[in-house]
Amino acid sequence: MSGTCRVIRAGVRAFDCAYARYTSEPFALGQMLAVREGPCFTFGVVAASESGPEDPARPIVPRGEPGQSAAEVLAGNPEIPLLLRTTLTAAVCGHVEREVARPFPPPLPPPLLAEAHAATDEEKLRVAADGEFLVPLLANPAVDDAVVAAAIRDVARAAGPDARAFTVRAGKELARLLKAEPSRLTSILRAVEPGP
Amino acid sequence: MSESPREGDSLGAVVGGSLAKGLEVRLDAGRTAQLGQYAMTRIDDGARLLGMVTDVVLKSVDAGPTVWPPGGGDSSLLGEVLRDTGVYTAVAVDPYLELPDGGGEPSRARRLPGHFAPVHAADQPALDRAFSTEGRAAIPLGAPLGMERLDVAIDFERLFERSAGVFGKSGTGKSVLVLQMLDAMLLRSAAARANSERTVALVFDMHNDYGWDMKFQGEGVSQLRSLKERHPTDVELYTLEANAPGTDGRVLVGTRDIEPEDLEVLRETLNLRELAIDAAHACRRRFGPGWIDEIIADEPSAAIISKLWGAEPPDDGPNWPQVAARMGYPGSLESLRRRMDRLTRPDFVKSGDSQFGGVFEHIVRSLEGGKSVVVQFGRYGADLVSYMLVANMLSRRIWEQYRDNTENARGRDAAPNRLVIVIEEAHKFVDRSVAGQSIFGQIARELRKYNVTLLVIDQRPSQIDPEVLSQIGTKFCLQLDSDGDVEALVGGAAGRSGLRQVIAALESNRQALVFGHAIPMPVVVRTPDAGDHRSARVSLRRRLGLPEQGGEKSPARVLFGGPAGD
Repeated sequence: MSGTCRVIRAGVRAFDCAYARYTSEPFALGQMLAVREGPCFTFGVVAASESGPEDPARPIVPRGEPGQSAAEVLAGNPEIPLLLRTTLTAAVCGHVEREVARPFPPPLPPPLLAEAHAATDEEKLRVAADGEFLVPLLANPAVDDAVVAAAIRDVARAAGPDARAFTVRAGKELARLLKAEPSRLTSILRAVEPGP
Repeated sequence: MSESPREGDSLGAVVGGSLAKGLEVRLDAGRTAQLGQYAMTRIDDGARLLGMVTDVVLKSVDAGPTVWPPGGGDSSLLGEVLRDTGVYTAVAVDPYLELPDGGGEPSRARRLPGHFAPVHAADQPALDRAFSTEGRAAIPLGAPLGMERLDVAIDFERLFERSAGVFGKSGTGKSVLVLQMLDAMLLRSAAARANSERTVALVFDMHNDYGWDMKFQGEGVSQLRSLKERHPTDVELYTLEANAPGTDGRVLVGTRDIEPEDLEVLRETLNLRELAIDAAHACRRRFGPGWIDEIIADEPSAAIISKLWGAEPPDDGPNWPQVAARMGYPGSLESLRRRMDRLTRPDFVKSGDSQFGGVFEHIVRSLEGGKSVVVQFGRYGADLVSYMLVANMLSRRIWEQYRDNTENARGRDAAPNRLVIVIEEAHKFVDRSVAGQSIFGQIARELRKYNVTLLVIDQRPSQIDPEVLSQIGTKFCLQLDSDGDVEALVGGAAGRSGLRQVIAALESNRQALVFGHAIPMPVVVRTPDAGDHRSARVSLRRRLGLPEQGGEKSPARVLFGGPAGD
């Protein structure tokens, strides 16, 4: 992990975060993030993640010898990581204001440069246990089916032994939201519970 | 996992419906409901609406899930998610009764609750109000379907003030149900203060079930104690068989006792045509009370020849074809002769003298005196002609006696007691072709005018004359297979399409749909277990709040209490 991740663009429905440099292990797709600063704590789900040159005008040149791993190439070219950065986009799925969790966007965006952390299991369940966190996610055009499925899996892991019950509950919420799109519902649920 | 609701539990919410077609109730997730189960909901002013589940429907929000059903069976995530979201279970609830908030008489449901009104499984207080007999004697019917801890009872007076019927195919428990009702009736009568308050039964016992014991197929039980055993001093037992032990008398029929009217009801069974019946009337008119003996003789008697030809008989000595031709019934008289020969074959039918008067008088005296009478047919039970002949002859004469007694008692304080005539294979007595002539059709139509009603037991209600069937006040319907039979029973009833569904779903034993005059709304009950005397008695006592008592007592005796000194 390459240092902290901070908010670099803030909105009430989505916010972008960036690491100081390139990291090969950023927050995962669908993982819930928490920004615990500002008038309320904002929670979002990673909807996109990207690593590349900080300056788009200076594209990265493929270096390294055949057979070298990425880590070996970076170790041999210590100037390269200084030119790279990892950014990600989080779709807001809820907030906590005065200790009350609400599964919809906050009244204000999270502060710029506030730290984004991985939400704890307790936070995830608090925001998402009833499945309603899917409402803002599905309303966000940046969120595709893979993100929704990954977000459900992420909270299910936090639910521990109640993972199945949570998954079914979230699935029912999805079924309600996607009642006009049964094929989309099916594909999301198949991604939530991949076959053997 | 589906879960059956306990009384008072939430079932779901009203999502549509009409008074004519019933309410549509979407069940809560994981809930199930059975046909025949009671449900209740509230109307705006707080009144409760009580209804019966008459259909269970699997529904889909749209076609998607049903066009592409999820694979993997019940346990797949998609399947689990879609249950109660994309697909769900709804029940149709026919509203029957409105129970006003804070008390008041239940009334027929004429309003509906609003959308999303919560629906609950009915609880005992609601059933107590709906089925309240206001302190009057009642016969416990058993537990409503799916509510094993609850019970309902039927008003004794209302049950027997009009004719009643028990319908079901063979082996469904008709006889046991009738035994329980008669048991209650006898006990009630024994405890009555005045004879006019008594209800007595005249049972034409085709299969020898209502005398000393009843054949019964139960767990470890092969027979039940029947009426004579349970009420030895209140029941008289007659039989058609000679030298039958443990009986109070034998029913003998003299050929001179049989009137042409007695043959009317046998027309179908004996395959007698209209003309043959006319010939019987003509014979009775011309040959007198000994007409049957006359026409079953091998040759026409001198008396017949004299009556038909006077002093100038034909030279070749008249034979039966000549007699028939002379009377104007060629063919029909011969047919009548053959049928009368068959009719007089059983050994309880005696030629020559009149036999019937003595036993008839005795039976009438017993009935009028407050005792019930069981006529057992013994081996003649398998002979429908014998059964119908005796049942019809006795019933017709007894009804006439009750009619006269009732007419004579008008304006005086000496009304006769109420008589319930119990007949099996009722459709043979009151089918479409003979109902007009049958005394049983007349009794059903007269309602309670002369204090005589019927308790009919039958497997084929569709064969019963619809006019007679419509006069059956209270119907106990056990399992029936034929659509025609079901339709005949529910034809005129409110919510008949729902009732049809309920009957179709009845189990083959100890489940009955009861509806009609004596009960405020239809009820599907699991009837008390007749084979388990002790637990039935204990459960009955507990329901009634009575202390446990020693000694063998019938369930009805527990219900009504016994006469002094019992």
